[in-house]
Amino acid sequence: MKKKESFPLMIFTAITFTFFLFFTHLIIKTDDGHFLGIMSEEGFRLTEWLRERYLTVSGRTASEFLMMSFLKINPVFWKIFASLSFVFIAWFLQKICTAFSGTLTQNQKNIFCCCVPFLVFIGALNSGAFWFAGSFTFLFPFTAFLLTVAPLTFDFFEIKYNKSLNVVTVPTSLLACSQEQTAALTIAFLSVLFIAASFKKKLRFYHVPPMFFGFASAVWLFTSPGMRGRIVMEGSSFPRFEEMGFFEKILCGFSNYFGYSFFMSIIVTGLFAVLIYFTVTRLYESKKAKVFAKFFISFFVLVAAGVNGFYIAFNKTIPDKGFERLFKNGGYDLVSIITLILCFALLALFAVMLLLVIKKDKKLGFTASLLFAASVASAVVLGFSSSIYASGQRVFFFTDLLMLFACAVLISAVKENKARIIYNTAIILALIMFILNCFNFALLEIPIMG
Amino acid sequence: MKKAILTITLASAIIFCLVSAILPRHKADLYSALYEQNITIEKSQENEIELKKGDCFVLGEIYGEPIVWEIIEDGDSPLAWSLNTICFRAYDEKSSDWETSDLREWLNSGNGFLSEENFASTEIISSDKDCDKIFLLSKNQLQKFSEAERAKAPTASAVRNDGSDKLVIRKNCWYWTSSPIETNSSSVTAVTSSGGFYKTLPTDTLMGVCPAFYLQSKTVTVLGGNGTAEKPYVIATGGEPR
Repeated sequence: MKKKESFPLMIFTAITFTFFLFFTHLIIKTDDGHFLGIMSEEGFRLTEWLRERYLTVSGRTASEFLMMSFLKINPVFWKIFASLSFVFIAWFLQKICTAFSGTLTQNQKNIFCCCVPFLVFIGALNSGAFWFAGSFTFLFPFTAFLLTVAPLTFDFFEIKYNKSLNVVTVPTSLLACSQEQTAALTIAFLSVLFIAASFKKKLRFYHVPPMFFGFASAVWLFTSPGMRGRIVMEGSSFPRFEEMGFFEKILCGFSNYFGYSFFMSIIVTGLFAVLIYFTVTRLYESKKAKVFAKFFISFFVLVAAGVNGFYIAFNKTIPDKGFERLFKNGGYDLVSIITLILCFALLALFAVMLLLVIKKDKKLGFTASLLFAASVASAVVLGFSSSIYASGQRVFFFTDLLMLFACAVLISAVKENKARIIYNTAIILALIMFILNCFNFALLEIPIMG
Repeated sequence: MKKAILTITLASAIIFCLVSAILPRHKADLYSALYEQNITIEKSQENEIELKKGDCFVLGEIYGEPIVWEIIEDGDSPLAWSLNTICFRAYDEKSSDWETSDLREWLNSGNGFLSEENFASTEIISSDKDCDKIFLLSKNQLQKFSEAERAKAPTASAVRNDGSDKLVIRKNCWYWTSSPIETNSSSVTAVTSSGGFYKTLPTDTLMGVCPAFYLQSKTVTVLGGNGTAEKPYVIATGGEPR
């Protein structure tokens, strides 16, 4: 990378390290304190504890091993490791964007990529990345997922990279597949890229081990006795879950996605909607396509703002909580049904817009569609978990990041003046979110976290 | 664009420094605005009454502020529980065991919570089965209440004296129970700001204390008030605030 092009990443690295080192801290009233207490008990042995966890609570052995290891040592090591993980996300995205040429310069794309992590909705970002215990379930597995798929992705897109990266893909695949959502993402992306790369004759022998070890780690995770025990335990907060059929669980998952993406994380979804709109209007000259694109963006605004406001005014609660109440009680009210129908219509419009992009630009369209589909799927799949409502917004950490990845890919296709408006907006928004978080973590004992 | 970013960054840095510098000095004013209780201590004439569930009365004080108690269980020896979180203290230096905890010792100590500075008299306070005058409610006892009923706000004086540089701006705060965590011996069950149950380490100093005690008798002499939270009964027999 040229000096000027690496400047944004250098600034981003400095900001990230400063934030982690001076603002983040262990939060005693959360799992941070709980695990600290466990570790300080007399006779505590990590291997015994991991074994007990695997048999009774959780199959996330790799991430729990990492967490307890970091808890033993000075927190500054966690801060450094977390900072590096955070920076890696921006670095990976910058590399991907080099595969898409548009009117934006690489420097401008790099700046946008550095804004991406701070654009994640604050509830998901803080609990997924800046909270010690949460980072081992979200930030580190996601970074591990990116590291695992990086060589295959870069080879597929013919992006130059240091081949020594392949050395880390085996251990990172173990970590990536030690969490349910990232395990699904890793296996899915590796499978898709495997097939795509084999068609393009880009498959290499070193792409195979992470697939194998990742799969083994996923089997270890999903077959753990502890996982079953945890499902039973967390199901007590959602007793109706067992009565729900397959399709109702899918509906529950979609409602969870809508409640978050369309009504809470409006900035991220809005950014994606605007970028698709500009992409389609650029790719299509016909009036029909432009009218359809205008209809799409108007419908998005109607749902995100209008329906959101109406729902809150009518039901005296946000749609996310309203849907939770609906599925927990089984009472389908008219307002919620209408809202869900409109959300499905909006999702269908997103799909049609992406199909229009694929028709004109296969590489851009398929990449954006895959990322968008993964973003939606990572939220919808929670409908099959009885603890869907137990963990707050941090479970959408991947949803937002994947959608923002799609945004970064799409921004390369937008016309220069419009792209500049979008990435200026992104910079300002990211800066505001960062500053808010500085106040949040500096002044509050328990920072605002989803 | 660069100018806009620079302006926002500089302005934020300045605001941040100002807030960090000014806030500690004016924390007391902020907390007075957020947490001051509007209670009226009224002394009119002596009257003998029978306390019943829901009645509020003042007995003792801490940090110069009267403590308001609420009857939460009827009976010959009614159970009274502080209406608010009255102070912030750690549970113990290491253990989650209530019986050996520093907090239990402090709550029942004549040099601690029961000092003459706080209570002119503790005649009306009975002892519980463990011979404690003052204790914390257990998780079992608290489970009888709804989440909304369990949620407690701190008093302004409690927050002013919490000894922390962090802000307490949520309406309610976490507070201790006397129950350890079932799964490990290092954490104590706590009630969260929303009234749910969670856990924290016994060394956590930013945890509220909501003490409780049994009264010797349900019949007490009051000097005034009507038993509401705004106008609590003023108990006579030397227990009234100065």
